[in-house]
Amino acid sequence: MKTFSFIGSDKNAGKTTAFNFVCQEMTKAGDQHPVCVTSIGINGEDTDTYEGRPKPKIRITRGSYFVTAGEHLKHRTGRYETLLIFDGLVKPYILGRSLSDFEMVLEGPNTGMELLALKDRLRHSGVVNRLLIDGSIDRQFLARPAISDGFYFALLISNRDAQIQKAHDLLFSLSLPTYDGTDARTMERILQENRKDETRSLLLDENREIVYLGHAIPSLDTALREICLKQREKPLTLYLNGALTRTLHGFLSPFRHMRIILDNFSLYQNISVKKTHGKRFMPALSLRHSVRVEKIFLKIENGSRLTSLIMPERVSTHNLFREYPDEIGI
Amino acid sequence: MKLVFEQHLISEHLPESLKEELDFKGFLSLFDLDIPMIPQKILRPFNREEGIGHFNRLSAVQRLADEEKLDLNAMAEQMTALPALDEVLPFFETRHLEQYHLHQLGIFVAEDQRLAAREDHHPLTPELQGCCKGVSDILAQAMRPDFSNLKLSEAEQTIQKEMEAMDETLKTALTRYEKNIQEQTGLRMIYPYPKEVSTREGNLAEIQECPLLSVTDKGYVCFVDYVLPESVQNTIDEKERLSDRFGRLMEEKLARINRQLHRFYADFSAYYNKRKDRIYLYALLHVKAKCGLCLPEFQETFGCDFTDAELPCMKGQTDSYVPLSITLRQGSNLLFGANMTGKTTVLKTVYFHLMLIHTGIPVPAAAVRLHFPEHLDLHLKTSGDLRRKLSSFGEEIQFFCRESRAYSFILADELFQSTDPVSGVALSKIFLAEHAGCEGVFFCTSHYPDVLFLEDLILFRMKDVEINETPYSVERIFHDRIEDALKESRRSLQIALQFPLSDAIKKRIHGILRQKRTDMLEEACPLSR
Repeated sequence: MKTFSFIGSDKNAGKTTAFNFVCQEMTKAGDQHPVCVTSIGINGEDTDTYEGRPKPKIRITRGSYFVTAGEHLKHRTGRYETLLIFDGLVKPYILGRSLSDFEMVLEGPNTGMELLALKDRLRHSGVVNRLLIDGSIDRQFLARPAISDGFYFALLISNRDAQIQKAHDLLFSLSLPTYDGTDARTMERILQENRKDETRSLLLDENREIVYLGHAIPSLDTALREICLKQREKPLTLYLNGALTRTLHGFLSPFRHMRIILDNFSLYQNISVKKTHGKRFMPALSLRHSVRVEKIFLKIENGSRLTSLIMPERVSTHNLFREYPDEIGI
Repeated sequence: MKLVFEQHLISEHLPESLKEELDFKGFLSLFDLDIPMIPQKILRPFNREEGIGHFNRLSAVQRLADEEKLDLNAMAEQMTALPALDEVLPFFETRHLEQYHLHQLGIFVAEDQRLAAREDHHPLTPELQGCCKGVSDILAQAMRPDFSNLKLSEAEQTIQKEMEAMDETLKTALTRYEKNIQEQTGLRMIYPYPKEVSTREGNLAEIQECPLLSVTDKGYVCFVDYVLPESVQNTIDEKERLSDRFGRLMEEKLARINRQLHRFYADFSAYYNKRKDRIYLYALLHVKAKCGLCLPEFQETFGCDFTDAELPCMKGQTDSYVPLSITLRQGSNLLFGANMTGKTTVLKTVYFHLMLIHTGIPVPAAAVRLHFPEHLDLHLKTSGDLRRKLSSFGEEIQFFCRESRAYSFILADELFQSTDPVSGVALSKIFLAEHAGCEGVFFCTSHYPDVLFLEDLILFRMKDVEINETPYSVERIFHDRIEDALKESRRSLQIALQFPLSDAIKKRIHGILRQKRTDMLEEACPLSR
């Protein structure tokens, strides 16, 4: 079973539109590849909780599969088949198959552990072989290869400086290479042997000896900073499983002998890599887990232009509102 | 099925490190079975009556399995298919069951019937079995055989077909409508909409003039949306009406089913809870058989008799581990022996087993016979508690301030070693004498030779073994052999020499040992002088 997640750069970035579109296109592929949709937390409400504006609803077409919390199936009696109930989670989630077209609110598990448990049971049921998850940018666990095989990004392009910077950073993080140094296998072995769920940072010297293993948020980890400063002239490898924030980025900028491996792209947060507090970023930056972006869907606000943004190589970019499905191809 | 001790059950008197050391968690993980009805079970202490009742029920089921009247493996397999209804029952009670609840209920009743068919020799509750049949009959009438959906009446099926036909009509009409737009303007109106068309687009004039479309000029781009023809809009409205009607019929049907089912709620709810209890017994016995555990037997007299009782965390550490066999009697039992011979391990093993029995879990032993451990207390050496302003001695005294209760087990390590030897001996004698008549078992370890000669004391000694060598072994010492038992014990000074102490310290220890040997020789053969 392949899993694809949807992430939007902002509110109103067109994530649900992209979700509906991809779902529709995949469903057209036929019965050989049944598609199931679910969500991280709640998605598909009528209005945006924060901004109060209307949101596109999640469309379920006849014959398609969904996983949602039971309360959203009220008033849908007779229009779906109950296939499985995933209990033992925070609340029971229902795997259903729609018997007619309808719009609905999707609500799936909110944590990585629960989502993995649900995926496992879904896989064992053998009912579907593609799972689409309506996600959000603040659910970093979606980036774990165990959860998602690929991503679809909905990117909002506007004229607002802060938003342009955000889009720029997001695209940059999507372009980060996977770590493929000559010692890539050794590095992965070291990480597998020493990394635990609570590990936030791991600093290795040139002999791949662990000189520091931190559980604190990296940007607040003073011990990590101290040891980095002490060894700043030596070749170091820093693995981060916590956000590379603007502050931490600024601190690490002068470490020219350092290479930084981020666990996943979502840890690169709101930083402009070219300039950080006026400093050039010297360490080599890469990712442990590659970013498998299937497509980027753009939503262009108020006649904004794309000129300043660099799209990642080998990832196709589309504006759903201006192109046609057969031009996009799912 | 995750078994977890009730919060504070152990932590009240045990340090966190000891809980980890005893690895209750590891032992309880043996019971991690996939049982949807019991995803987690909080282990609470039983009182005597509840505890004996619980183990009697377990023994009764075990007897059936031994007589081959019950296949525990088959039961274990079958109970994984029974869904949990804890979320469903409140809706059942308030007549708000939804379609997916009925699915859950249907699966439960069907799987429960299969399970009940294997329980001929001990039916769950014959007086409540009728409610399952009642629920099953209603669901058989109302639901499809696989409980995935409601059975539709002919009228409902007609509406459903009309809705499906309407869907097709609508799709055809929309496709035709989109085709017309494309023919008139070259624009393909496909999801999502409104479509954005550049103000520089060549066909913008045609689009703006097309009566099938609405165009909003935003300056930088034009938003193009549908203007649905009346016929299409009518089809959509008709579909909505049909959909509403179908919805109302379904709501009425659901309400009817809820009404029919509700009269069985009270019995069904009671039956479900009894089924859950029974499944818990099956699960415990399934693991008992799989892991070679045993059920304790209870006696009216105070005391306990452990045969080959294991401490799982120790068993994994060494190949030469030998389980503990010991008989403790009513009153004061005292264990002595040289350092590092395993006195505390004996105490911990007894505590581990008593805690499991206290909460109704089979134990890793060949046999255990005892009075039900209604109250269980353990005191291990501490370094005091700054927060409670108690020294280690204060903590020990505090421990003994608890009221002595019947059917208790009180375990204490190195009794009153927390104070000076003179006071320690005096206090030990007081508490040993006091507990000699208790309605339970007082079991402690001690290094004070003077206390061994007390009357009414049941004595045990750890046999001497080489340092760091197991197995540890306990022997009963009768009062006429106390002197001999003390002579045989290994000296602490010799043990100390096995540690990486400095040469200067070791030299001093050797000096004392030499002197002791000379004294002993002189005592044995006074003429050798």
